[in-house]
Amino acid sequence: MLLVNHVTKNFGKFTVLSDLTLEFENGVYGLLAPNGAGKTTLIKMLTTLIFPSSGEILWNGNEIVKLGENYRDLIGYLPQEFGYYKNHSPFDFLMYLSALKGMEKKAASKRVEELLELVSLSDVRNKKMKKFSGGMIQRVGIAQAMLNDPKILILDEPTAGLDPKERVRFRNLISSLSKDRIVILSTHIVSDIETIANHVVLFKDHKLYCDDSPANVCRTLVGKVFETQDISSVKEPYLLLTERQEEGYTITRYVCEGKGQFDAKSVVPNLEDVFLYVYRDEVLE
Amino acid sequence: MIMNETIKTEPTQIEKEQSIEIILSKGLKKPRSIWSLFREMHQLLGFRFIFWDTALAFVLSSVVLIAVVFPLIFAPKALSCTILFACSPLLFLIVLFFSEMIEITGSLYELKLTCKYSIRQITAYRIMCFSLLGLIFCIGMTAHQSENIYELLHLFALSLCSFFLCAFVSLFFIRCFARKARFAFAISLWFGILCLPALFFGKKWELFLSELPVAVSLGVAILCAVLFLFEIRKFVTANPKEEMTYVTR
Repeated sequence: MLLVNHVTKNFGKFTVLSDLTLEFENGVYGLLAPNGAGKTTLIKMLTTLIFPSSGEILWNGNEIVKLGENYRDLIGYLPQEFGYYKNHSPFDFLMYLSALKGMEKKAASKRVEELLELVSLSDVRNKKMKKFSGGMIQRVGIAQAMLNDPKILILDEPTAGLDPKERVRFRNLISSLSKDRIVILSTHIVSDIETIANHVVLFKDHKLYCDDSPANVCRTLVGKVFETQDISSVKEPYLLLTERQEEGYTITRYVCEGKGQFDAKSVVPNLEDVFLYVYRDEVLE
Repeated sequence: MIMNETIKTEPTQIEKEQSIEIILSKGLKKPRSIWSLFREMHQLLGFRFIFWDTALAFVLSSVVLIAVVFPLIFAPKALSCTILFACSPLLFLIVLFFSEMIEITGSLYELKLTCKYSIRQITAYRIMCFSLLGLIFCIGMTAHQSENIYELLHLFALSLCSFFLCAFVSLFFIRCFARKARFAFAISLWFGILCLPALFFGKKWELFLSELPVAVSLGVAILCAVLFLFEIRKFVTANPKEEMTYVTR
């Protein structure tokens, strides 16, 4: 079990995360928050790139920084900006990283072949990566993160910059890799988490806002989300969520603490509604 | 009868201590020495992966070294000690500077810090290799400058003194300073420690170096070599100050 125990992180006088306590067990955890909320800071602490100002991060009761390479051997990490050697093939690149991860050549070669197959890059295993699309590079990224069959897979904004088709493909891939391991996925794209995460972790004002299943998180807005064709008739204070076109009408979705209007239809809240509601100050500015 | 059996099966003090030793040896992992780490890394990674992506650094170092050292080799004999003292650590510093600057500014640096054999450990191994390369360079420089055995011994001791002094001080500052420019800072240290005295004191500095007893320069060299090895040992472990590179990126 990975435990973040009362962790605070300051950069100078600025507090990025304050008294954060989280427990991670096998499953997919979606860290969902707007940019600048501290997701990447938490991820960098979990990968021992930076250290808590106070508090501790424990793996099975041992502090991760003290575990050193024994801890690094357990993690797979895909950074937000995944760097790669443009003039190398994915096969050579993955062989290099598998050596850094302490794998023997024979076992590494077999593992690299398996992973290239898994991420559908076998056909281009010997092509230079400079010709690869963003989606293909991200797939190389997830393959390198999986090289050592990590117990903790940490993905920082893995779908940023991907087209919708690649994003769906990527989500399916992560879902298939989530058995028997902790997957920590940081994103500000709600649909990434809605489909694959077992737990949603929200930060607000540099603190933990909630850590629950997507269904329970959505339940917090039950009876408060409505849709109407005529938003101007809504008298009570409301928070506009989204608008969409349907059969020539503009359907407005909003959150209202009261009963809504007589012609408004109460709808089942989704994670995007919760996200927009929780981060109304940051998102709707 | 039962009492007798109990007495017979009770372990002796020696047996108890041996059992404790066995349990402890199985339960506790002794901290690994840096040499066993280097051996393990060498076996798994080999020179190919340890020096992966350093070709450009070696090319740049060669160019700079030829440009700086070549004219100095043909400098007047009267300045041989000053030149040797200033140039001995140059190869080591230049290769270290280029290889690590390329590494730190590379897009894979962060990822390499999270691997089992992190780039910190690989850099420590590289520093060891660069220091061996630097020592060969010192031998070459000394052999070129000396005309007899005594001079060879004196100049070699001076060269080693300069090399290890600069290597230790540079590594100490590189380890203590988190900024990306720390490797450039090491070059400025070299200029400050080894070149500035020559510029300020001129012939007096040459005289001082030429009259420096071999025992003194060898003593300083050995002391700095030991401190240099300690610095490499510390280099392997994470430096909390280094995280600042994340913020300043």
